[in-house]
Parts: sequence; C-alpha cells; structure tokens
Amino acid sequence: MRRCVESVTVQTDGKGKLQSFEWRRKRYCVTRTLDSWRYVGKWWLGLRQTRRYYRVEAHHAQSPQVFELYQQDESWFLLAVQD
Amino acid sequence: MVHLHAHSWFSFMGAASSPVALAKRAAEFDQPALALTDDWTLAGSVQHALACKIEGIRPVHGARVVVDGIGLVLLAGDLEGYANLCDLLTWAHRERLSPALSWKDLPQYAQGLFCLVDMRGAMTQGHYSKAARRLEKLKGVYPQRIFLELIHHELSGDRANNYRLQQLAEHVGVPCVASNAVRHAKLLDFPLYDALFCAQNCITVEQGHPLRPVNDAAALCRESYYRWAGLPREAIANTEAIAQECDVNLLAPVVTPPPATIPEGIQPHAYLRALCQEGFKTRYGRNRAAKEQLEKELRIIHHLELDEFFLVVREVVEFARSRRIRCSGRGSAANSVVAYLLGITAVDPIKHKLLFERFLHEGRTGMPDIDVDFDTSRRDEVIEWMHQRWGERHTAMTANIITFRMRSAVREMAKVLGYPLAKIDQATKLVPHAGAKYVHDFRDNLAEVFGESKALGVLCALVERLQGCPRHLGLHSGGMILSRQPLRYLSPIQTSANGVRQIQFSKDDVERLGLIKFDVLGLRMLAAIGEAQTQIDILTLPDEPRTSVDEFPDEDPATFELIRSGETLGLFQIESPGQWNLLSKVRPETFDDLVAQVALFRPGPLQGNMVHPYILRRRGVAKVSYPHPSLEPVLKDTYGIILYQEQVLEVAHVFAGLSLSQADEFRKLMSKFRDPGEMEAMREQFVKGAIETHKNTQHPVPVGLANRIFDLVSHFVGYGFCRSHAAAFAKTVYQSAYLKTHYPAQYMCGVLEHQPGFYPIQTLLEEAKRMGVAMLPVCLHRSEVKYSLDYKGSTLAIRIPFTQVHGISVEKAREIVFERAMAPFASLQDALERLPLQIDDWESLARCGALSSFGERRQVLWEVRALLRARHGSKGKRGQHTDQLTLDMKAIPALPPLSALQRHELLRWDFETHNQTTGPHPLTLHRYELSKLGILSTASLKQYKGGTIVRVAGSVISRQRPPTAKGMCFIILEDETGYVPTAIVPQVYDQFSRVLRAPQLVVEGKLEDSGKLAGNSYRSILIQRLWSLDAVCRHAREIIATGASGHPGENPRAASTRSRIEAPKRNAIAEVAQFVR
Repeated sequence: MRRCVESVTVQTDGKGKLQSFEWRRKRYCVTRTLDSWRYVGKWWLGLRQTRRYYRVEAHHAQSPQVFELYQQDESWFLLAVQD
Repeated sequence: MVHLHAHSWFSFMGAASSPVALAKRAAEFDQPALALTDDWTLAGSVQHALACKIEGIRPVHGARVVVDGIGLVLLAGDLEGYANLCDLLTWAHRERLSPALSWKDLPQYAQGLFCLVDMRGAMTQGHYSKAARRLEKLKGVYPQRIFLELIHHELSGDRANNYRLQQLAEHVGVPCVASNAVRHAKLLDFPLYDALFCAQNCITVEQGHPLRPVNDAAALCRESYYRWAGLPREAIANTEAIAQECDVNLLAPVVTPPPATIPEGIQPHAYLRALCQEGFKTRYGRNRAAKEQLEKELRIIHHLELDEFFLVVREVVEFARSRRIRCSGRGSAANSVVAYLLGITAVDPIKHKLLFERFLHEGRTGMPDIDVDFDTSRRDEVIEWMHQRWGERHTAMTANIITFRMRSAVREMAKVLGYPLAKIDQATKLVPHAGAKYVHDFRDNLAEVFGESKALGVLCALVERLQGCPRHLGLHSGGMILSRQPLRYLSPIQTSANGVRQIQFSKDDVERLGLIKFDVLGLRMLAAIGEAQTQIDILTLPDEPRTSVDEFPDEDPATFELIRSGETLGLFQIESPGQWNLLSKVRPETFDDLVAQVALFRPGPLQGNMVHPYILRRRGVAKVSYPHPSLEPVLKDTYGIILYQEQVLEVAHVFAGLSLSQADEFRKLMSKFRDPGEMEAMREQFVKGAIETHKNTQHPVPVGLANRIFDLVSHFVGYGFCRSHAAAFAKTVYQSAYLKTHYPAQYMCGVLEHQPGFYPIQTLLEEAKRMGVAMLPVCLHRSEVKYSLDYKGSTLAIRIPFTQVHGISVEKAREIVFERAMAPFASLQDALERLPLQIDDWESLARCGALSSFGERRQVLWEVRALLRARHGSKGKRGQHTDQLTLDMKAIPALPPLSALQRHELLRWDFETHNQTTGPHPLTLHRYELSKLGILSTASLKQYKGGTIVRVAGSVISRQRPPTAKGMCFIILEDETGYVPTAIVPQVYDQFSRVLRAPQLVVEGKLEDSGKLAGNSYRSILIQRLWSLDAVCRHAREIIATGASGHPGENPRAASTRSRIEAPKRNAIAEVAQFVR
C-alpha cells in the first residue's frame, strides 16, 4: 500500500454505506467494503475526534484497486492506495 | 438480545463501570437480562443481583477465565452450576498472586455451566486447526452448552475474523453467540477504561500496547449494533435463549446459621431459654423488670429464628473463656439481656437502661450483627477453632473491597498521564485521604505541583470517576462467615496475603445475602489487660484469693480520681489530648459518666456542638431543659442533650408516636440513605406523628417544634454513637483505669507488651516511670521473651525483654531463656559458647546493655568481637552462628581498658538497639542550655495562667493533622517532666512546615487552660513560633560557651581577635540571641 493522505469527496447511500469517491478529479466506484475500523482520538489531550477507517475495493475504468479511506467529522481522506 | 459477556469494575482495573451502571444501561435498552462476567471473580455478583432487581431485569452470574490463552466466559445455569463455578474459581485462586487454570481442571466443575469461547486470538494468529482442536475439546467438557463468541469491536480484521469463526463453529458443530465483551456501560466511559488499562499494564497514555483498546466499541450496546456489525441472527437469538436457561437467585433468603452444640432431644429455643435462666439467677435474682425483658427478647429471637445463632456465638465466647482468651462483646448486641446472660456481653442492659430494639425487633430483616473483641495476640486461636468446629467448607472471612481514594486515584491517574514520579509523590501529599469525588476541591493544591493545564482537568475528571471503583480485594479485619449451607453455593474462596481463607464478598454484600457474619475483632487493649491479669496471677500466692479483672468493684473512687486527673495516657479510649481536655471538664464520677465520655468524643456530638452544652449542664452551670416535656424521661440521663442512637429511637417513639421497631427502621433509613426525597417523606411522617400523638395532651406540639426536633434528630443520627457500644467500651476504660490505679506495674507491663494506643514505646516507658514503676534494662540474666515484672530493691519494676532488641526474634529470645533456665551464664564466654546467636545479635545485646553484668558496654562489645574473631579466625564474618567451636580464651589478646560511655552515647546506643531507654529522658541532656534560654519544662506550665506566652521544648510523640480539623495540626511534646499538647493554626503550619518535621522542637506560644470549670487543670499551647531543638541547642551551647566576652578565662586580646575572625558565625548565633530576647 502506498500512503498518501489527501482529501477526497465521498458519496454514500442513505444508510451511510460508501458508494463512490472522487480523488484527483477521477471518480472511483466502490464495489465492496473489505474492512472497517475505528479509532478514538487522544482523549487525554481533549480530542474526542473519532476516525472511521474503511478498506474498500473500488475501480475507475480499469481493474479494481484497494483503497484505505477515513472519515473524521464530516471530512474524508484517502489514506493509502494499493500499488 | 442480552449481553452475556460484561465486565464491571470488579474486574479490578479491567473495566470502568459499576454493576449498577451496567444494569441501568441494559434496562434503558430494554434488554431482559444481563450477565456479569468479571475476570476470575464473582465479587460483583451481589451488587449485580441487587442492581438487576432494582431495574427489573434478570441477573445472570458468571465469570471469565483464561485457559491456555483462550478466554472462556462461564455462566451459571443453575445453583449447582454456580457452586461449580465457585469451586473452579476457588481452585484457580489456590496460588495467591495470580489465578490460573489448565484444561484438566475444567471437566470436574463443568456441570450446570454454559461456556462461551472467545477464539479471536487464535483466528488473528491464523491457528485455525489448533482452534478447532481446542473447541472440540471444550465441546466434550460442556456438551450442548458451549457457544463460540462473535465479537465486533470495530477493529481492523474483526469482520474477517467473525467470518472465519462462523466457519470454525460450523466445522466443529458448535453454535455461535453474539457478544460485545463489554468493558464499560456508556461510550463516554471509554477514557476511564483506557486509563485503567494503562494503569494495569504500567504504561502511559502515550505508549502503545497490543491489547490496548483504541475505541469505545466495548460499551454496552443495543441489538442494532450487532446487526450493523453483521452478526448472524441465530447468534443474536442465542443470547436470549441462554439467558432464559440461567436461573440463579443469589438473594434468596435460605441461609441458616451453622449448627450449635445442643443436648440431644432439646430444641434450640428451649436450650437458649435454659441457659439464660441459669445466668439469670446469678445476675438478676428476682428482678422483675429483667425477667419481663428476658421473656420479650426470647420471644423475638425465636420469632426471628435466631435461637441457634445466639447459641453459636455463645459457643465461640465459651471457647475463648475456656482458653482464658479475653473477649468482650460490643456494639448494639450489648443492648440484649440474652447476650448479657449468655456471657457474650459484659454490660448489664437493665442497669444501664439499654434499648433492645436498637439491636433487634420483630420487623428486622437480615441477620443482626454481634461484634466480639478478642485479645489480639490470641484472636487467631479463635478463628482456627471456628474453622475446625464448623469445617472449612462452612467458614471463611469476609473480603474488604479496597476502593480508590483520592490519593491513590491521583497517584494512579497521574502516572498514566505521564507526570514524573517525583511530582506525583509531591502532589499526593497535598491531597487528603478522602473520597476521590472531592478532588475538585483540591485542584489548586494539585496545580501547585502539576501546574494549571488542560491535563490537570483531565486528571481531576478521571480521579472523580474513580469514586467507588474497586482497586483490589482485601481482607476484612474480623468479619467471619458462618454458614450451614456450604460456602461453595455463595462465593469462591481465595487466600489473603497473610494466608487467611476469604470469600469474595464484602461485609455489606454478606449482610444483603442475609448471611451470618460474626465479627471476630482483635483489640490490643484486651491483650494488654489479659497480660496484666497474668502478671497479677503470677504474683498471687497460692493461698491468696485470685483477683479478677472482671470482678473489680464498681465506681472505685481512686480510679475515678485518676480519670479526672487526666493522667490517662495508656488507658483505653481516653488517652488522647482531646479526651484529657474533655475529662477535665466533664469530671466523671460514675460509670454512666464514663459511657457519656466515650460517646461525647465523636464526630457527631463534636460537630453538632453538643459537647459544650452537655458539659455546662452536667456541671450545673447551665439549666437543664428539654425540647418538649414528653422527652424528659428520654433525655434526663444526658441533661436534655441527645447523645446516643437509642435516644433517637425513643424520641421517635415517645414524641412522634412510632413503634420502637418502626423507630429503628426510621433511624436506619436516616443514617444510610439520606436521599432528600426520602428525608422529606420521613419528616412528614415524623411531624404528623408528633402532632397526632400530643394533640389531646397538656402539651400539644406545634408544627415548628416538630420540625425543629426532626432537624435535631436527623442531624445527629448519622454520626451518633450507640449507647450499648459506648457502655461496652466504658467497661474496658474502667478496667484499664482500675488496673493503672491499683496495679500500675502489672498494667504497664501489659501496655508495653501490646502497645494498644497510639503513643510510641518510649512515651509509655516514661509514663511507667512517672507512675513510680521503675524500668529495668535488658539483661542476659533477667530478661524474658515478653515485658516482665522484676524487682528493683523491694519494689516492683518492669524489665525490658530480649525481643525488643533489634535482631532478637521470639525464637532466639526463647532459646536464651531456655538455656539460662538450664544453668545460669557464668561468664561472657560461657554465654557465647552456649547460645547459637549471630554475631550481629551479640553486638546488639552488648550495645543495649544486656551484657553489662560482664563489664561496661564498650568493653563488653570489644570482648565479644575479640572472642568471636578468635573463634572464626582473623576475620569474623557477620551472619555466622557462634555455636561451632569452643572458645579458647587463651587465644584472645588482653584488651586495653576502654572509657565508659558518656550519657549521650548511652542514649544513642539504647535507641539504636531497641528504640527505648531506661536512662534519663533525652531532654535532660539539653536541660542546662534550655534553662539558660528560659525554656520551661512541661511540668512547670501549671504555675502559669492561661494567655501567658511560654516556651517549651520536647520530643514529638504524636503529630496529627486530621482532615476534619480545617488545616489545624496537633502535636504532643514530651520532656522529662511530662507532656503538653499543642495546636498549630494553618498559617503557622505553612510557615514552619519544614521545621515541624524535626523529632524534637522548641515552641513558643500562648498557654491555654481549660477554664475555671475544669479547675484550670488542663494546659495546652497554641503555637506561634517554633524551632528545631537541635539547632537551638547547638547555637545556645556556643553562646553559653563563649559568654559575652569570649570563652571563660580567655585572654581579652585573644578574644577580640577571635571575635573578628568568627564574625559570620556570630551572625548565625544572633538568630538564637534574638530567640533568647
């Protein structure tokens, strides 16, 4: 996996399930969610932010790739891309 | 759905919520049941059962154990299953420090248990086939009752793991069950859980740990969470199915006392009656009131099915008496004529007007408490006998749940937050030993050390949340459980740090279960009195009548004279300066006065400002008045003041018209719950009852008065003292005072041996000397294993024993005494040859003066060393025994004569070897300088009036700063003439806090006396300034030595030159010169 923390735009369905995301002006369709997990921020510093991570399989006009994304508050970030 | 795997804070640092919080949360989510499955313990089970009962949900009892790295949640399906779980946990705790189980331990305790298996670890590590084998094995142990846990904690890999676990379950043929392995009730509890995890694993919050939680998913969740996590429906449904099958009611009232020894064919009630009647003849004769009371008590006892309980307690007390182990019943049991007649208590309830209803009444639920104090030194014999008498399966001690207090919570949480240890040490000293929830009141103190920051806020928040959180399981001081039903149906048994078998429930839990708890308490004063009795017996000639402590004449004038004099150091309960002051004012003359004295010096009367009015009325200075005429008979003994809990009952009975059993319930509710709503309801009942009771009398009660009396009672009841308890204590106070008055040597011998109070040994020794009892040093030819009586000339004296000398154990002391009994020690080498002591022991004996019959201490020490060196070759090795070779005196070179020890050296050697001296008081060494500086002796303070500014020096024998005293510090100073209590206000304390640590002080302050009422007999000092005695004397010696014009006899010119050279030194002395002025 190649690490690259970049802001992305994500579309979800009504239940919060990931459908697609836009990264570097390209739209990636999520075909399945492989895993998800959650971290609570450093509460001892007064940070109660929660990050929800997703490992998804998505594609953009080519064979599917694995991506790791996370959501913090209302923002989404791409964390890593499979080489 | 039901949570079948939930941990409370009884997992000891492994979870963050109380059983109450968990049950409340489960009820909020409409879950029909909740299991409590703490790690290796059932300690929270009673609280869980109660909490579930309150919330209206079904409790499931279980525990989590770990076998070969696999977590197993074991749930009790029925009572037999619960008993098996107890047995399994008992077995797991057989090694004290860490519980452990192996596979082979499981089968024999498997019946009646459900097993939920957590295989997440094996799946994560990819050990699929190993996990399958383990699961097969467990399936054989718990057929039909084994389930594989599916847990989703929102960690990376959880989904895949659960998928693999389902495959595994299908493969082995084991059903799955949904679980959340709950560690906290709410999401917001996560920080505390995380902090506790860090504390348990000795890491800070910034450090990682493979098992450390990273999110709050281990909270008690709704069913929707399971569905979101993709757990199968059957697994969710199984949670309810299992809970349905678990049926254990811990709170069922089925416990009965263990069997008492009763003659065959006689019913317990009849036997109890017969025993009481036997005692009645000797104690009451034809007393009609006592007869009526006895009948009433026997009826109530029988109604409550407690006949056998009383017989059991009597059996224990009889055993103690048969072994001449001193014991004394205390607490509310002393209100009972039956307890008195059975010999359980020593105070006559009829004579002292004690109220039985405070102890028992027909409406009482649960078992009554009977507390009996035993001679501390022999209490273990009683416990051992009880284990043998009723069997180990039926007896054990109760646990003491040690919870976080403010200091321990600050220490633990500050460590977790990464504060340096040195700062933590500093900070914990700035907070009191109080409840953790009050930490915000001391935030400024913490900020002094840690600095004001966000982290401090986090620290305080964490500490506050630790209020009530258990830290570990301790041993209760004396609560012994006696049960007819084997204890395996109640609790696992584990071994305490000192090897005592204990259950996992606290005293309160035991009461809630309705178990018989018998407090076998140790009281050192009883040991001291027992020792005094032994010494009296030793000195009693065979043809003389035996003097028994239990038969001392009542109200002996000389004894009361001693009590009134305030010379009560070494007595039971009344030896503190506060009590000296109170004694000087109350001036007790009768036993009832002593009972009041014991009850007065308590937080309730002191904080309720009842003491001063009581004294004024008692001494006839103020008029005795009653809040209402109907209360005169109730409060007459205490001059119109409410002093005892029994009076609260009587007020509620006489004034508010409640029955005595209702009144006791009223008292209990007011002293325990203090819920504002409940208080108001009680007020209403009280006021209504009072108005109703007196409406057609000469003295109707207005609403305002009824409310005022309710306020008076409610304020007192939480802190008041039980009259029977005070009376039982007063009996021991009187016995100790009688002994001190009439048998001072015997008594002080017992006091020195057992040290029942809070004064150091040297203070007790000085007290003995002040009483005219000579103290004799350790002597190889005369000392014993314990303090013993000896003669100095023709008067009785006390000899310090060998065991007081550092390094001389009881066994070594016995060896010396035994060898001496075989033949006296003819010489030093004879002793060295015959006694198998180590070189260090011989040196200690020589230095403490035990070998002084062979020469002066320094000389003997050299001889001992030379003799031992000669035996062991040129290099005598420490720690070697001396019993290997016969000493060859010829091989020892002649020793040069050595100078005798100086006074200060003697003192130093005494304190270094046995912390006490029979020589002069250390202050006598400084008296010359002190008198030059105008510093008074404590005895001379009696010549000065209150308000005079005085200076006194002394050794600090007590230093207290109680949290309730608003920052005041109390110190007692002792010199060769006596002792004086002093007080320091917070400002002075802050100013001199460093100096205060010195072992000997010089203080200056205002002399305070106890006023005319007390005949100005009590003196104390309110300190304004203080110095270390050492510093003052060092400077004073220089001033005295140099004088105004230099050293005595010094050439004036030389003095002038030296004066210029030593100018800086003189500046230092100026400090003392100022002091002298």
